Amino acid sequence: MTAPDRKLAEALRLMSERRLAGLIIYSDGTCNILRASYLRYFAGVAPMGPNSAAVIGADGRVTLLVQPAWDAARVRRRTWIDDVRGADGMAEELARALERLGIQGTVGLAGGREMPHPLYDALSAAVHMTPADDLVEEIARVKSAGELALVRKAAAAADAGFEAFLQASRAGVREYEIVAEVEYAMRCAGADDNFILLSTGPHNRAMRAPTDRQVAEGDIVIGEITPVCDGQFLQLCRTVVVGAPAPVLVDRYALLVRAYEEAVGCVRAGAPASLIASTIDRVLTDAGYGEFCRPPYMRTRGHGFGVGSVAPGALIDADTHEPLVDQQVVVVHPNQYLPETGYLACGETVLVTPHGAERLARTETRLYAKP
Amino acid sequence: MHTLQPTLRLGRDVWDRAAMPVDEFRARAERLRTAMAERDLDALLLYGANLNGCGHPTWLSNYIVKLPFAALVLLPRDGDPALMFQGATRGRSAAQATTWIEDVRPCWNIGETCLAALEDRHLTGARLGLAGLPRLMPHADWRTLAAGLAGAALVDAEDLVVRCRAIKSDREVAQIRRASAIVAAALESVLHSGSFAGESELAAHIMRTARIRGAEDIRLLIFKSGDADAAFRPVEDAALTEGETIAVLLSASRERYWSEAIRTVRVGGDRFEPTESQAADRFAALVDGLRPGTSIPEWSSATLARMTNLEAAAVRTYGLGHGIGIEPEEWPALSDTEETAIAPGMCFTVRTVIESDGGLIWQGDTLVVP
Repeated sequence: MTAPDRKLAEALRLMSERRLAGLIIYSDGTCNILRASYLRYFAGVAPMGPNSAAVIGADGRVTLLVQPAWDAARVRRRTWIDDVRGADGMAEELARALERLGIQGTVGLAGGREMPHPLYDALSAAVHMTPADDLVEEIARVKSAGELALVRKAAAAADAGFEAFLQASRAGVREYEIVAEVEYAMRCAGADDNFILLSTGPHNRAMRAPTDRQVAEGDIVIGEITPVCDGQFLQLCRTVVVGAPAPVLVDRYALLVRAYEEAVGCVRAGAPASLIASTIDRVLTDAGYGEFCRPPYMRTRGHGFGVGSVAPGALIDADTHEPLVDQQVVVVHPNQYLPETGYLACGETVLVTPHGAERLARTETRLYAKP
Repeated sequence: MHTLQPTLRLGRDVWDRAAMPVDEFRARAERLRTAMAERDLDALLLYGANLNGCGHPTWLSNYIVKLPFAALVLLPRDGDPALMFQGATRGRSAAQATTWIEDVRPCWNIGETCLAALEDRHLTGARLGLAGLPRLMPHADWRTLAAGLAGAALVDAEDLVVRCRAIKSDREVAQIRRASAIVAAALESVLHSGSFAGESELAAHIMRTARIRGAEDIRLLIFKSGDADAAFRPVEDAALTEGETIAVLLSASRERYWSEAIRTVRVGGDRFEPTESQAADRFAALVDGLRPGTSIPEWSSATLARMTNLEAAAVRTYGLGHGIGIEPEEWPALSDTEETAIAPGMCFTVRTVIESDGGLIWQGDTLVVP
């Protein structure tokens, strides 16, 4: 069974289980690291928006409606869905699609929290809608070979991005110039989008968008390097010191690496995700930094990416009791503010397997010094 | 023009207070208050969502969303405004560094937060003008907000904000010119860059050139006449072939303000070559007609009438252009159904196309009506 066939078969099975007459998977055209795009996952193509939707009937017929209408030819080339239509008026086209597919009664709605009120209101006149985000999440629990290949492609792009980050981190460079070089390297390595946050200075407080600030000798440059390949994210959290690192920095970064390695050692299918957070917190608490294991000194100890992962983009903390699942892509990052060094970035993305975590990037998690 | 939105607005994020001082924003608030008084509105709610649709709150507050979330500004006719945005509380200080508004409220439930800000100002039973609401607001948020405002009079006032935004101040025009310089340099660099193996490398080069000149957000589409069902589209993992013609549409923002341009190049053996100048000549004629007082429908109809059927059909797909400023696409559209006259201070992105032996040659630019 091909990956699209499996997606559709699973959707139909779950719709039947829930007695849904149909399923609408909606997108407002955004690509959000914190909220997975169900339509992009299901259709296999990123919509431009502002309104696009797949409509699935109980008999297996699927229609994909896209805006702007002139983008239909591109979408048709890239999706497995045969019936792709440009939809200038989304409310009217959705109503027509529901009628054409014979859908009446209760319909599942995935991506509904993105749907603007006027469209939701118009649809409500035709069918009764019930939230179905979890239905798509369940379909996505199993990754296809193609999706795993994209994850590995993103890992290679992240390595290229880090090499550019390391090369660009030098005295005199402006923060936004570093981002330009990292983005360039990752796009050349096959990334189609990027999520890059950084900070520079002798004592950083958090990561953010780049400014005009010029890097100075002795600065610590921290970055979250996150390429995207066709909807699959991968993240490296890296710290580079411009010049010789102070002994206290070397020592404290080694502490973060130890926390990272112990946390990654806990990752395996079936283990609770909370182990990632509790392990990192334990290592730091044992070293006397327990009071810094909370915001604003840290944000999260890890998160998943995309549809079908644990806590996509949000946070894994001691209350994230969901078990990790085979083939989930999870970032483990003890990114942390320490009083002696400021905020440090440390961590990377792993693939969950039944036997443990598989590292995806080639570059090493350690403190890098740029002489 | 619609493009794929990036995951993050990841470029240079700076508020240059010399280029855009607080007085500029206070003047905008006063313009809105004058218009509110004419309609007897007690307050205005300016809502926006996502990287393409946050123009209303950004125009008044200077705050931009970097992730695809929402922002809302409450502007009372009397009293201090409030800025609300979706995000964690740790984002408050960063937001405060980009806005003149003192009451800054990060939140996840923007409906509830707006009700609290209105309650603080005793405005939950007032006559409220709405801009971007409920047009852009997700259903659940609107349901919360509307339920809490059952005692208020809700009035659509989007046109009031849209018309204020359409006429750019001198400072806004200067920002758009700076963004245009980035776009021009990035597109020009293609002609001096040698060759690229594929579409992705070409896009990476253009984006790097724009980013290194200070672009805050960048969008790029290409049009290959040789494609089946040719249309503007994002770059793909595809090769560039010697002799083919490629139009590159580039939009970039700098310190909130956008510019857009299109250039068409031919793939040579070891470099890109410019296309013939006919498109540039036609573009110059188009622009010459965009003068204050000109009726947009008349200009649009006359412009399309000068094109071949193929050219007119191609350009109608995307439109002849539209307003541009704090959003990549703003009112008014340059369309034969837009009953508006050109006014001084309007900024437009304008596009045209011409048939050639090598395919369609596109040309576009951003311009200011003096």
